[in-house]
Amino acid sequence: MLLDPGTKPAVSQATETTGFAFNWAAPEHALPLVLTAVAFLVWLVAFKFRKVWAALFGINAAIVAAYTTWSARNNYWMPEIASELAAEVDSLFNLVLFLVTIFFVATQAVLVYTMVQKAPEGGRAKSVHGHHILELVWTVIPGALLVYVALAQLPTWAKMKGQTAGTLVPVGYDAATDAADLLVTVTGKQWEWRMRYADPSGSKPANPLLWASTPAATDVHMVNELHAWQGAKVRMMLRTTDVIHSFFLPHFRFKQDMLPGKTIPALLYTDKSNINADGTERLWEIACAELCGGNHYRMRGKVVIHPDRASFNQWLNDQKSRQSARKESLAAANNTPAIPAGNEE
Amino acid sequence: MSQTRPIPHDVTAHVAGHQQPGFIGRYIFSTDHKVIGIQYLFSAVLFLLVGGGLALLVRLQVGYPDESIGILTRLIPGLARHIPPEWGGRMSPEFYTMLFTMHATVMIFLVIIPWLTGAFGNFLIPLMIGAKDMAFPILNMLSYWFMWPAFGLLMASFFVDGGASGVGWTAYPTLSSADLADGSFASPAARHAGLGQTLWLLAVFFSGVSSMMGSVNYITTVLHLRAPGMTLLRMPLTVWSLFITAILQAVALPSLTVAAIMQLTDKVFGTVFFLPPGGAQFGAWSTGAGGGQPLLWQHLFWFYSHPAVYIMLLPAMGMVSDILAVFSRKPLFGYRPMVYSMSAIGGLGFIVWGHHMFQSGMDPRIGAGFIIATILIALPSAVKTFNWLATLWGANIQFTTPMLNAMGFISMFVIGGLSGIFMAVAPVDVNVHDTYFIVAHIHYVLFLSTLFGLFAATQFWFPKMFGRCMSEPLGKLHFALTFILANCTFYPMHILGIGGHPRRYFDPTLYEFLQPFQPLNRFMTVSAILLGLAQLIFLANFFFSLFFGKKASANPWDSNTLEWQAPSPPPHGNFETTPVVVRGPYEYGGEGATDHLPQTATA
Repeated sequence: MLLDPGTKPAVSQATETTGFAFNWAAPEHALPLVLTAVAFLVWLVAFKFRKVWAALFGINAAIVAAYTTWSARNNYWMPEIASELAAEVDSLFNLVLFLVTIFFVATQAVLVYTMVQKAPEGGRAKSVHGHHILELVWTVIPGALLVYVALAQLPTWAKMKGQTAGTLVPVGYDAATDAADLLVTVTGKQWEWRMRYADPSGSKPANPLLWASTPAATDVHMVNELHAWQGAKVRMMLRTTDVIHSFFLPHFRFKQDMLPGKTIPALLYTDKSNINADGTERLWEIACAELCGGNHYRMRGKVVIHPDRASFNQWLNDQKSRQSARKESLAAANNTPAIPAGNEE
Repeated sequence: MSQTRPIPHDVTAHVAGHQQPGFIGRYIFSTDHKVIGIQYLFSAVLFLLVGGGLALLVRLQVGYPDESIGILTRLIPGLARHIPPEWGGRMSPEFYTMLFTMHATVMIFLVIIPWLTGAFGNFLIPLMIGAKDMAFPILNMLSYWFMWPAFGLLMASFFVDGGASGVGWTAYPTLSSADLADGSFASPAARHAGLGQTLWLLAVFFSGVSSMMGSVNYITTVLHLRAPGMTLLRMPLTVWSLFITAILQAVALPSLTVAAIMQLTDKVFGTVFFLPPGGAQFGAWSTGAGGGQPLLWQHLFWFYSHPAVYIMLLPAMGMVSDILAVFSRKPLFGYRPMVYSMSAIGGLGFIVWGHHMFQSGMDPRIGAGFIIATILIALPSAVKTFNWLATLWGANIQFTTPMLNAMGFISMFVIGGLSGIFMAVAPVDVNVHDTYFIVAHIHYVLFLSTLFGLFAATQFWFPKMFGRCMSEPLGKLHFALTFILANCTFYPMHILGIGGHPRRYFDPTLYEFLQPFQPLNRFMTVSAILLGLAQLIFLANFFFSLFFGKKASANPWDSNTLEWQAPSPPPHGNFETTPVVVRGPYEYGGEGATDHLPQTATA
């Protein structure tokens, strides 16, 4: 049940490339040269008309704005949204983007304007040292906007850090009152993710924090695959055995470091399934977002959100019986019990 | 605070030209602040080449993970062991981690900080406040020569067993430190955090000690050696910015230096400052139990390294302010708000380090506090931007190379500053953290802002340093190409980061959700190579002008500040007579007989 290693093989000694294939006609190769030529042209013309420098700044700002808009419109943007929390994060992003666009356009426009403005009479500018009211205006207005942004994000921050009630500041984790629907321990190690679920036929672990550090023999194990069902609040206990990893689920806008020596309780909201009606799966990948060694880029996994609890349970029970079968065949092969008697299911 | 103090002649008498030092005393182990500044400048320009070359190799790998770069081993023989033919001419993932680690380290510790505070701090502070030299000339010399062990150790680390450090410039334990419990550098824990990482830590230590000596010197010099009449609020913003930077360094640096020593003892003597009680297991190999936490390193590291961002930005802000006023032929708008906002950045800079750790295991309640502080630090930057624009408003702009670079600084700082606001929104920050969005942001601040500031300052003060001017046409060509190509190289990284592209990935095409972005990665790589080539124009201009540049007069830009009252280049001891300051530094324009009034002019 290991995840398919991907659409391309790892860098291996077997695959050999002979040279550097480079297609000058491809837009991504031609465009930098075109823009270099534009810059060169501005430089040439500016010998004669010095105000042409304004064009360089203007063109640059216009390209930045146009390119950002084009990317957003053409889906070179955030990945698909997997939860309501992810939508909240994106709307905060859009709020900030809206505000900074205003400031970007205004400041770039003023900057370009000053480069083409009429020279002061006689070449002498007025000796103005400052303006008290202006200073107040451009301190208080951005200040108020910034305070608004600071406060507007707090509920989302609390929710992201596992707070389900609507308070502004998240509270610490309390195992006794943990109301999550599903419990899973995710352990990072060089270079894979190990998922561990409690036995579906047993009772829920009384103390999730304790269970995270003391595996039961009946736990169900998975590598590089996180499963849950649509609408579940998933309590993930994040751990690592070696170095810092960061569990990154781009579609959920979820990212949490795993720190050696710590168990970090995190909450994942799953409001959407990535199993289509026809049974095919949209790939929601897991990535590592903290450098963890040479193969940092290979900690690839996937998330599967089943459409309902029943299909998730069926999947988990399947995994459990496969795991038992593997244990039994291993025990038979070794002709010794794999698990001490009494711990057996 | 603002009273006038005469120069205590007993302090600087020995450099006032009474004795003629020999060649070594004059050019190598010199105690003259100008020579030391120029030494820093040459070192920084040299290491800019190294750091830039490393960056291009990084870009080559990310843009073209499947192509053979075996041809490079013929150009640079040392590469052969990292790009072995049996790998199909590709670099190894371990080598890739070394490249970006050393790129960041070289650029931060050997280029940006020495260029800003080392070169310009040394050269400008005594000249701009009317002093004959620094308060502690010998300490100043030591500060430069303590950089050389850092240079040497970092360069040597490429050639030791296991190669240079490959754990990122943030050097998070246990990746960086869990390797010596078994007493060897070859433990399986972290194959690229062995001797190379130990040398890295020593280099950071030396660089920290060097900067600390510089800071003590700058603070003392600014407080005690100002010329008569040079009150604190008559100091040019360049001096203000370097002064605030020195205070930031003096307070924040011990944190990093101590943390580096702690990690060093973890690695070499087996202490467990950053090793958790359960230890760390790497397959069958284990470190054994510890008693610390990697989180501690993150706090100590970012307590320095966030202020370090301002250390790497404030001096550029100060120098750009001065250059803007000179070429606007207009007083700087809002001198006091500028000073207050720089001080505010300096103060707030100490309580925002937590925004690097929103996604780490830090208590989320503390995170809420860091959100507010981080949001607030955007305000002084905004105020500064508005004041720069107001300076340009109604100005008689002279389009010189320093001016174009200074305006480039403003244009780009707006992008770098605004993208920083996303990071102050914790839920958004968590999502873009450790993606290319952060890489874009830091390069807009450190490359497109600070480096444009440095290009402006270098061309602006070059005549004072060497008595010759840099070429204007070449300077402008370099600016035009750099401006466009740097945007081509770094702007698309924002889009990549929004798409969730993690940084430090050897081969992003492994991920389905990243594959659509690969043409963009190639676009940035081609732009980066062209950008690297454009820097050769700057280097050519720099070295050519040293010998063949137009001879400069004492005050070629008609500037008001004190350094332009001294000859170009200033002699040992700087000023023939101690200047007496009667006014602020920004008296340009107006109705008087000339369009500028030097700080010493009585009429």
